[in-house]
Amino acid sequence: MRIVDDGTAKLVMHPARFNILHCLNKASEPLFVEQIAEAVKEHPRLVSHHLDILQEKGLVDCKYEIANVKDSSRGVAVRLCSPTPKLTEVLNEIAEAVEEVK
Amino acid sequence: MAKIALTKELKRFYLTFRLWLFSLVGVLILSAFLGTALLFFIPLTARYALVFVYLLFVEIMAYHFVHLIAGTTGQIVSNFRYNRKHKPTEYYLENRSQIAKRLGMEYDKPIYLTDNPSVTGPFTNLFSGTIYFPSFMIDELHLTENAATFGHELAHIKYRFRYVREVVLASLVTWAFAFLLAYFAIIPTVYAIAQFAFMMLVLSFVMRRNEYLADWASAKATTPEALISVLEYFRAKCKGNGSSITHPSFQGRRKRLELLFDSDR
Repeated sequence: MRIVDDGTAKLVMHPARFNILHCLNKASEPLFVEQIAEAVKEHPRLVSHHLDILQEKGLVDCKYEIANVKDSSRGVAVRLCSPTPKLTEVLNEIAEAVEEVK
Repeated sequence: MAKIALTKELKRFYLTFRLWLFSLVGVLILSAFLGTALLFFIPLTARYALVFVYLLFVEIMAYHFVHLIAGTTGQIVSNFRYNRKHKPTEYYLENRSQIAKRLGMEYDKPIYLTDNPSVTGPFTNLFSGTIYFPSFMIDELHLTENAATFGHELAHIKYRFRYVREVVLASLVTWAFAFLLAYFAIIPTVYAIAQFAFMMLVLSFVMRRNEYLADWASAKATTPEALISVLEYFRAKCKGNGSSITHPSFQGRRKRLELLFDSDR
């Protein structure tokens, strides 16, 4: 399996990273760090750290945009994150591997 | 050049010698304390409640102590046997010297990777000053997280003399406690065991404090996020809270590291 060979599967198996990926995969639109942190009940700085790693592995796509956060009167620059096609591929491969083990 | 190398070697010899000297003093004081335990059994007033509390101490601490001794001995034997067959490989961590510099020290020794199944986490040999990582950590964690772990182990090396001093001081406190306890003792055995339990309690405090200190130093030299991530990883792997006589719980360590999020670092 490719994801096992290049070490992606092992990195994804970290509990916090897996939760973040699951959250991003389920969301219908890109989420920013605060939203992910709220969903996975982690500190935003910790989420940022994991997003850096996931972005480096090409599992998450991040870009900065201006958005209205928590009833703010003017826009704030946020880091919007969305899953990449590689993530879907990786999650499918993990699911397949789990099925095989079963 | 040769002069500098000689000075460096002499300094290293002096530091190792100092560590051994402190350990020796610690052992001597501990022996004195154990000797006193046998001498000072003066049965006075019946303090059953106190004895009951001591017995509780004994039960908890003896369990931890047996766990610690059995675990450490097992690991040393296993390491020795395993390392003879499979030599640990060297691991090159890119920002090794930068982290050491941020901690205010130099580190020119290699980091070793071992596949030994009994090694479930990174550890430091305080005498030789070498750091060992289980090889699965390198595969399963990111470079930043391994750097944070390295920083933690390096902090143990940095504060090793302080640690030994604190252990010696803890033995002294226990010794003082021995005199105090002599007035309340009913049964000599209970008295002796209670002292032992108290010693374990104080040592546990010192060891746990040392872990918090290493966490704090590593988070300052790297990032608290990376270290928290490592703790979370081990929490998932161990399926427990990671608390032992030498280490505080993962949750407790995490809480302390999170305090650094809001500070200016």
